[in-house]
Parts: sequence; C-alpha cells; structure tokens
Amino acid sequence: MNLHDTDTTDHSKYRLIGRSVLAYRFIAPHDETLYIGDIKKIVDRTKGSTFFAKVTDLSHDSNFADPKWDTRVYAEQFYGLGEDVFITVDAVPLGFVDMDGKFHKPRTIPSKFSVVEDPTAEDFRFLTEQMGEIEVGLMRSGQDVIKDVAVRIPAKVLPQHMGVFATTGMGKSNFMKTFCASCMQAQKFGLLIVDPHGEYVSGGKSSTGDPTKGLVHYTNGKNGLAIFTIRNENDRKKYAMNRLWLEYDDFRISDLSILYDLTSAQYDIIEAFSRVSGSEAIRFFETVDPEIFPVKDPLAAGIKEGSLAWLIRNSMAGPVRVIQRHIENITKSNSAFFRQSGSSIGEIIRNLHDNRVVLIDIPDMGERSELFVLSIITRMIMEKHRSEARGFGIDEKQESSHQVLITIEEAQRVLAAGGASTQMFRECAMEGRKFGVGLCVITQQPKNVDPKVLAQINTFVVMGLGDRGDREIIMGSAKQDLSKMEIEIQTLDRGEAIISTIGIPFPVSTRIHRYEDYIATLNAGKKKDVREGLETGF
Amino acid sequence: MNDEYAGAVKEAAGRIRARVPGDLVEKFAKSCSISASDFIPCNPVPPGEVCAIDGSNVTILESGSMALAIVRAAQTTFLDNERKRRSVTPMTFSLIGPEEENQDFPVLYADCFGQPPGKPLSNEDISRAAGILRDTVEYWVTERMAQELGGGALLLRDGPLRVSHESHDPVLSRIVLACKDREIGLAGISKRSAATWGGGHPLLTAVHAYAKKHRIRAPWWIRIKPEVLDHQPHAQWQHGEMHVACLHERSRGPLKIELAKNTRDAGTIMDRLAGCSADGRIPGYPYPLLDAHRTVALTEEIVDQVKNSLVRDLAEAGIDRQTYEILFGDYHDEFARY
Repeated sequence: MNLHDTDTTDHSKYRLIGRSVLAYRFIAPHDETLYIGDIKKIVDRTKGSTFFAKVTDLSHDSNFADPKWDTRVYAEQFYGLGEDVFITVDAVPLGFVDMDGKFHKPRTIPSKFSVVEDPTAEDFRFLTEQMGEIEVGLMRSGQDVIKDVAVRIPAKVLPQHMGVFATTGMGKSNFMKTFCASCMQAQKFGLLIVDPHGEYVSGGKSSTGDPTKGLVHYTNGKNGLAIFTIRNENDRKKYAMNRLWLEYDDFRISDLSILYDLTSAQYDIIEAFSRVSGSEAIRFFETVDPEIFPVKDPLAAGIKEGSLAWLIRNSMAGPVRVIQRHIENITKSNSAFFRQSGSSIGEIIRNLHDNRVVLIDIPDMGERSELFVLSIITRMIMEKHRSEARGFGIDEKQESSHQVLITIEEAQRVLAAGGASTQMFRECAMEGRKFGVGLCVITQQPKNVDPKVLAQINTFVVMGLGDRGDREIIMGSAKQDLSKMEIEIQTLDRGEAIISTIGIPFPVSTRIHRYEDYIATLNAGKKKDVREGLETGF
Repeated sequence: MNDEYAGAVKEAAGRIRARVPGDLVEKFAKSCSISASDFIPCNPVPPGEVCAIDGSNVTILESGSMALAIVRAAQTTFLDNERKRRSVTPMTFSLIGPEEENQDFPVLYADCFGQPPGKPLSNEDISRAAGILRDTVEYWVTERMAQELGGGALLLRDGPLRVSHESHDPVLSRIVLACKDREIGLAGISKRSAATWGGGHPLLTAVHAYAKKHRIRAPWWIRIKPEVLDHQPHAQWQHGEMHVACLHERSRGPLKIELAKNTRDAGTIMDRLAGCSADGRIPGYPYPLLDAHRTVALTEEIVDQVKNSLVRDLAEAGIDRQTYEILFGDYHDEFARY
C-alpha cells in the first residue's frame, strides 16, 4: 500500500476559464492585490499566441455550495481559505500577438486553462511599434505604469478630431500642456490654442493650487512654438512672443452669432451683411442712426440703392440698435488686439502651416474675447484650407498638405446640439478633416456636445467622468469598445486617462506625464537643431 | 386512506417523541446521576500539529451475485491553521462475491500490514464488507501517521476507537500503543452515536439538552461512564473511552469523542480540539477532519470516471453491452425514465 502526497501547488489560480471570445475570466487568490485596469497576458502555449486582456471587474467568490458561508457572524477563523475562496477576475480581451509577433483583434479565444501572467515591457513591443509621435504618458496597468511603453498618439489621425473629456481637477490642463510640448517637439501638424487665462504661456497655479510651468519653459522645443499675445513689450521680448493683432477685415458680422444670442430680426441683419467686409460693417454701425429704420422712403432719406443702409432698410430700429451695440462692445472690449488695420492672422496661419504650436495668449480678456478670436481664426483657417483644396487638379491629391488642429475649450459652448449660430465650428467638425483641419474638443460635459460632432471624433482622451450620462455618451461614441471599461473610467485618478484612437489597436490606459517632469526630461535631451532638414549643400 | 396515513405518521412521531420526552433532562439527571459540575469547560488553544484521517468506499457496480467496491483513505496534517501535508492512498478495487469469503481482503490486509488477517471477511453483507475493506486502508494510514507524526501531535480518526472486524483489533492496539509511546493524543470523533441510556433515550440529545437547560456555555466536554449506557460496548474490540463534547458555542450539536483508554490529558486534548473547531464554515467540528473528508471523498465525478474506465476495459475484455446490462444493469434506472 502506498500513501501519495497530494501536490500542494494550486493550479486553479491564474488560468483562463472564460467562456466567450469577448469575455475572459480567471480566478486569483483571495488576498491578491489586483486593480481594475490591470493588463494581463494570457499565454496560449498550444497555439503559440499571447493574448492580452484588461481587468474590468473583480468579485469575491468561492467553491462552496452555500452562498451565505461568509455572512455568518460566527465566522472567526478559516483553515485553508485560499483554495476555495478566491477573487473572480473578469477581463476584456484586447487582442493577441501571433507566433510572428503580429497583433490581431481578439477574433479567437485562448485555449482553456491558458496561463494568465503579468506582461513585461517586452511583451508590448508590438504596441510600441504601432504608437505614433505625440507622446502624452506611459501605459498604465492598474495602479502601476509599464515603464518603457510610452503612449504616443499618431499625428496622422489628429486632424480627424480629438476629444478630451474630463471633469475639473482631473489633470486636463496638465494633459494639454504635455500634449503641446510633444507637438512642439514632433512638429507634425499645427496646433492652435486660445488661452484667455494666460496659464499656457508661463504657467500659474493648477486647480489644486500647485504651481505649474508653461510652454515657454520647454526651452528645447521653442522652435516649435509661436506665441501671439497682448502682453506688454517687456514680456514679449523676454519670451520672444509676437504681438497679437486682428484687424476689422478679419471680422465678419456673422461672428456675432457665436458671441451673442440673436433674435431672428437681428439675424436678418447679419444675413444681409454676410458679404460685407468687417471694416465696412463696423464703420457703418459706428455712424448710422438706428432711429431712421425702417426706411419707408429711401430716396427721401438719402439712401442709395445698394448702400449698406439699403440692405437693411426694412429692419426695425430696435434690432439695428442691438447690433450696433454689440459691434461697439466688440471693438471696445477687444481693443487690446482688435484694430482698424494690421493683422497677425497671416503670420498665425503661416506658423500653423510650419507645424508649430500657436498659442493665442489673451490674459484677462474673458470668455467672449476668447470665442471672438477663436471664431475669427477658425473661419480664416477653414477659408484658407478650402481655397487650397479648390486649387487641386483632378488628378492631384485631394488632401491638404497642411494639417491643423484647433483647440476648443469648454466645447459645449459652441458645439451643442442644434446650435445653428455656431455653424462655422460645426462645419469644421463635419468636414474639416477633408481640408486638413481638425478640432481638439475639450469638455467636461460630453453629453451636451452634439452627438453628430462626437461621432466625427476619432481620438478620445477620457480622464475621469463622474456623470453616468457623460460616460455613456463617450462609450457610445468611441470608435473602440469602451463599454467594458466603465468601472475603470469611473475610477480614473487625477492624471490618468484612457486613450482610444484608431491609430492604436486598443484603448490604452495611460498615466499622463506630469508636464513639469516631462519638459525637464525633454530639456535635458539634445536640443533640436533649427537647421535640421534644411539643405546644407550648394 | 387519509386517516390511515395521518394515523401512521402520528404514531411514528409519537414513538420518536417517547425517546425524547419533555422531561428528558430531569430523567437523564436522575437516571445517570449527571450534574452540571460534570461538564468541563474547554479553553481553546492553538492546536499545534493535528492529523486527521478518513476513509471512503463506494459500491460502483452491483449484480445479484457480486459487487465491485472502491475504497481509499487519506490523511491531512495541519500545523495550527495551515495545512502542511495531505496524502491519499490509491483507489483499491475489490470484488465482493460471488464467493462467500472475500478474496481481496487477505491480499489487501497483507499489503497493508505484512501478514494475513486473523479472520476472513464474509461477503454476505456487501455494505459491511466494503466498510471493513475501507477500514483496512484507513487503519493502515492511521498506524503510519502514528509513527510519522511529531511527538505531542493530535491524531484524529473519523469514527470510534472500536474495530468492526476482529482482524483490525491488533492494528488498533498497535496504534493506541504507538500514540501512547510518542505522547500523541488519539481521538475518534463521531458525528452520530448509537449510544442510548434509560431504555432507548439517545445519549447525545440528552447531554445537549442538559447543557442547554443548565445554561452551560460551550465549549465544554463531559466523560460518559459506561455503566449509564443501555448497551455496554464489546470490551474486547473497544479501545476508547466515551466523551461527549460541544466544541463551539455555535456548534450544531455535540460530538461523541472517544479517547484512548486511560488518557491522562483529556482536558488538553479537548482544549486543542476546541482550538481547531472554530472554522466559520462548520463551527464545532474539528476542521482537519472536514479537510480529510474533502480529500478522501469519492465524489460522483470520480465514480462516473471509474465507471467509464471499467466499461471501456470490460468491452476490451469481450463483455458486450447487453451482458454488462444483464450483470450490472438496474431496472430502477429504466423506471426512473417514466
């Protein structure tokens, strides 16, 4: 007779027991530390493939038939608890790497009982190769980051619009500055930012009160930055900033519809002036007496046919008075950069086409000024790119060689559903990609952004959304399936994000670089030579 | 018909009630001279090294003339709350019948103990024969563990310290002796007991009722004097002294615990038993015994697997399906379909 010792190794843990191609499951010891968002590697030695999955849910479970074993008050101690009591881990497949190292979508299922392990940076080499150029952080697995796996958004997909969704205090500003720094370094497209708070230039204080640095502190990348500001000359000289000027002709009276809620009677006046240059319109409203309207007898009133007053002869005095007041407000409140002639727009667009980050710095100017500047520049970029596209021949490439990304903070202001007054931004969202113009839509309330606009966005940066409605609209709009990641989105910490973009094969959890640390690293590296790429011979 | 049925049920209930009357406690105290001071409180202590042994037997095929049983035994050893070793014997197949005497018993016995059994095993009662075969491997494991455990360990057996077959008596004697020599506490623990007093009143029920009525808080234990029992144990095959213990305040009920005769440190053993009976899943039952049971149990899955292997080998040996059905088929399976 023999007495065989039973193998005490617990083979039941960390083996794949999921039943579906889209839902993996395994069990782990009851006292194991696991986190939502942990990435696990499933090694299928039978097929020679390595699958990747992200933990989406954790629950306590046991092999006991009695489901109430753990709720009895006299449960004082337990023997051998780890064998039958465990954590059930649900995970969503990300894809698999075959024997040739090629990544595929999860269209097959790993062999039953395949071993579940922690991946190393080497396992993600396939991913590193598919990453783009705009580095924003490191890949995160649960609470930890996978060092050496930098998350880089492909520049080529950014003109297909990007959305940054985060509530206050989740690290949105830090993300944007980090994003800007990488754009300054890579110089793959032009990036426009209008900053009414003056925080991008030289930093300030974050929403948590910590001191922050600005884009000018990324000294090695200054060749990729152009700042247009209304600050005084001393400041401009110190940081090599340009003076911001917009001229009256940059303005179109239709821009008023973005800045003010207009009645239909006021809108009629806007329509009538749609082909009138900005300077003419402003001059007209500076001098006209609204009380002459409506003009019953134009000849008697000395109004010639075809004149500007003729165009609105049937308008009532009230709407004309309101438009006049709006224009007066615009010219006065924006006098720091809005003048009769002399504009920086050409230079701004040139810098954007040179793939620089263009920062419009208008500190203390307020929301209306921000929208005023943004709407003018956006319209002019679109017009420029449209006219370039019209110039293409039939056989020529139908895409603009210039790629520009326009940042819109609090985008729900101008991209809400049904807002005909913000038509220009909507046009940009709907057809901008054809002309190489993308929008970087930043909002705390994605549910208030027009779903049609969200549907156009190909790159989602989700940084923690407390509102269920916001999460659902994001999960429904993203090009990759985020539905299984709701718990992770809900539990994202400050500075963490889920990045879903068509350039990277699956949604990547990311720890965004802390801007100050990131630029310290970039500044410590070799400075990019401004002559790089230029012809050196004769 | 309904009246007849109701009457029969009432009569059965009444007969059971007569064994557990309303004044059970008073009768028990008077008849057995029990007092509250006989109940000794346990002070649960870390149990140290505890080894539990259990066996399992299943009759997997049965025809009119013979049956095929499988038996095995297992031990599991804990050091305080952590299991440090678990082992199991191979499954042993034994044909019970058609001969009058079991042919496998002497082979198994000799394999276990190196000598032939003192008395053959009758095949007349299949269930009993399978139980004796199981006891054989179980005693073999127990004897081995009595030699291998560290001095001062606790050795638990699922069942009494009383043999059911004469040939096991010398084995249990050796086990008791080895435990005594090595200062190993030996205890046979039974969840049920046939012991009665006063003409058929169940012992465990009466002890539990007495403790409850006198608000004796568990854990406790009490030694049962043999003379209070209706049937004196067969002294020749009996190696233990009977105790009843309730090892946890949330215990379902008391256990019958037999300690080797003349055990001097009964209190220490009970304290250690209480120390390993606080597992939240089954409070009041020594956890190592539950673990031994889970280790050795021949579950439905195992039995199905063995049956499938047998059918395959029988087919290879030339027994067709019809012959198999005639031999081992059960019409109840057919009945169950309708």
